[in-house]
Amino acid sequence: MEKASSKIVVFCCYQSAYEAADMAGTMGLSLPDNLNVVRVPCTGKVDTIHILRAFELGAEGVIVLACHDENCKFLTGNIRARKRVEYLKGILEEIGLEKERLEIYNLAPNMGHRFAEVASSMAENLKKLRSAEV
Amino acid sequence: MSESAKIGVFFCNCGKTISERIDIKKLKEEVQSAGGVQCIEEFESLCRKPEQEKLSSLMKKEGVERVVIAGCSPKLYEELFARTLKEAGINPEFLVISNIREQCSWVFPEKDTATRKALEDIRQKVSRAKSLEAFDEVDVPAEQKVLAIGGGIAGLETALELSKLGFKVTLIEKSSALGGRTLKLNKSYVIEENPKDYVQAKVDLVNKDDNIEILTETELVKLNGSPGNFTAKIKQSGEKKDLNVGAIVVATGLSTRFPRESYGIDLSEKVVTQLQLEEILASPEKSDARFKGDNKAHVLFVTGMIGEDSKLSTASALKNALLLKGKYDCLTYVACQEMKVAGDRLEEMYRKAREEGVIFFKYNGNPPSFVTNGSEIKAVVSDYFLSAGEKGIPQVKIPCDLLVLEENLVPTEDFAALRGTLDIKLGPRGFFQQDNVHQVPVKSNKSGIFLVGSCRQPMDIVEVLADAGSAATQIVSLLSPGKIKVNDNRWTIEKGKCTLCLTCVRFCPHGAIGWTRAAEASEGLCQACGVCASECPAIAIQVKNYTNDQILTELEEILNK
Ligand SMILES: Cc1cc2nc3c(=O)[nH]c(=O)nc-3n(C[C@H](O)[C@H](O)[C@H](O)COP(=O)(O)OP(=O)(O)OC[C@H]3O[C@@H](n4cnc5c(N)ncnc54)[C@H](O)[C@@H]3O)c2cc1C
Ligand code: SF4
Ligand code: SF4
Repeated sequence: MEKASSKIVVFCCYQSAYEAADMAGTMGLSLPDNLNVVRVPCTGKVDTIHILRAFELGAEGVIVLACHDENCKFLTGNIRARKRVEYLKGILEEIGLEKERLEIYNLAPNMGHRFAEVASSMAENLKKLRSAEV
Repeated sequence: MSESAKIGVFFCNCGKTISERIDIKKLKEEVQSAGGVQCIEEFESLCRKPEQEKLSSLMKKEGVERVVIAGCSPKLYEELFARTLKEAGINPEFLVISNIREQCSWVFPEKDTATRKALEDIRQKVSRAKSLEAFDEVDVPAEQKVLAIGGGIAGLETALELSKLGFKVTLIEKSSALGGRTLKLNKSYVIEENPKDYVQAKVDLVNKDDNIEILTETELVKLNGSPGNFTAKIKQSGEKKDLNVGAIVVATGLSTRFPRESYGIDLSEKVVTQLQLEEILASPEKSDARFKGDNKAHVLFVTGMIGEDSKLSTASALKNALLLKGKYDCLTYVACQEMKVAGDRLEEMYRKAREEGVIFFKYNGNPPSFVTNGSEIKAVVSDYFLSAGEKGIPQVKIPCDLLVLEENLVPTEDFAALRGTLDIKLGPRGFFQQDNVHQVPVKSNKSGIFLVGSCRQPMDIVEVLADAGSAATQIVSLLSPGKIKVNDNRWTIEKGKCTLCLTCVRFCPHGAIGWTRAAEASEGLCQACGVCASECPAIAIQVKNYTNDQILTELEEILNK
């Protein structure tokens, strides 16, 4: 069993990124095996507290995946999510965590490749951070 | 959180698609031994009717209260399974899908890894299932009556469509007559009839229609309520009255503005906007007086100097260049930044115009300049193709008997006030609508308020008609049969925590929150996006089934805490 400390939590907007994740599977793209998806109706519902708590519980990385600008089903949820992530990146640095551990990307439902790409790139970055530590 | 609710976990093998790549037997054992799940069963293909029936009777027999289905993506059959729950007497809110097909079995080629990931996901979903709360969809009565604002082609057509579908409509128009801008057009490039006659025929139909009440010189002054139950205060020549309506249609059209700063030349007898030319050509007397005679007039149309060449201005230039050429044998020229012909009939008109001898210049970043000498006007125009291969930019001087300049298509003057009254948001180009793939174009950000025609973006008559049809259909599906489904008590607030900072009011994308002693969301308007809950500094708001606790429960399960 993987240790919690090597996990990546991905908050997926159900309007877009969740389907992109499905598509990555349908296309048989390879994904890191320490990725866990949390489905949200809109990234506007991902609170600062959820992200901080994920880190507190030992997540190594958190990705928030929102719809493209102007394409949020709820109009501005993706914009609010980006604001929170940007704010939190600052907080992470203050508490001594690298800001690369938290990312937000905009995806459309048909972007399976992009889903696989951002997931793998987070896994890679975390690996680098890990080896820098030792 | 309900620790005592009876949980069922049901596996779907999806033919063999899932069971070939995931060890279902092992999953069942693991789920069983972890405890807390009372009913576990494996199915071959749950998307088949007989198996759903089997599932339904199993759930009833076992008294299952919360359901986790581990199978394909919820994007496929979540709604179907929600109905199965309903049939079995379980609130469909108590369904959680664990996506072990798309997001596990198809991702990880090694069976062990796929099985481990599936188990993680199922555990996460079981913990979520335990944490879910029930809320119901309830029916609220809805007025089968609509207020349409604006008596142009958009408002008229929507009213007629709604009337056909059995709805009552009150159509308010701020000017003294119906018809709108179409009355000023000389000819439409998309419909055969004369636009004036065309819109007049609609006005006549509306006048005769018993379902449609027409109020001219009338404006909306206030709006309260939610879909199905709006109260609209309208003002007709100083007198105010209240209307109860189920939905609002905004069809207020657009305005034009001549941007002198872009051209450096004033409007005059010889310099007109496209709309002014439309008006001249709409009157045979005025146009004969201007263009008939032995001397062929030189007419230059200029588009694209005030931003992207718009479809309407391209269409208007092509249409009128052809008309002046054909009817009065004028020498017609069109100077454009780019000729964009992606639209109904545009390519055809462009070709025809070239065949008939209209001369085109593509100035490509070197816009024309205008030289006046007394009453004479010369335009100095360059062309990308003429200059190809040569140094410098060859320029052509055109003496203009008439210069027709594209104007800005802008929101109407009282647009901002109306938007305030309706409390709806504007799209990125200052008009009402957003370009959003998730949004039906005629819907505003606020449920029950619809935007039709050129108030949401510049468009031609055929597009306006399509909008009207679409809005009517949307309205009927919202308000029929006399009731609207809303989520009862899904949005909750701890009033004691609310400091009335109104952050939620500002950030709610759907204009759903008002306040008295604490913030309060309208159930008819709230779309449960959760933005308010995430922004509230006091953490006073929760949206059921995406509450903080529920999301944190999932995180805790993922991270094994
Ligand atoms: C230069 C030019 C050329 C065009 N050429 C063509 C063409 O060849 N073919 C074609 O199909 N289309 C053409 N069009 C587009 C056509 O004019 C529009 O598609 C059509 O007029 C849009 O109708 P509408 O009902 O949306 O708006 P409008 O016709 O503008 O009607 C809006 C109505 O709402 C009323 N109103 C506004 N505000 C309020 C308020 N607050 N309260 C109550 N009432 C209000 C107005 O008084 C008006 O009666 C052209 C447009 C322009 C500018
Ligand atoms: S954001 Fe929170 S505290 Fe502020 S008004 Fe809304 S509910 Fe009250
Ligand atoms: S959840 Fe909140 S922000 Fe979203 S529509 Fe409802 S009231 Fe508005």
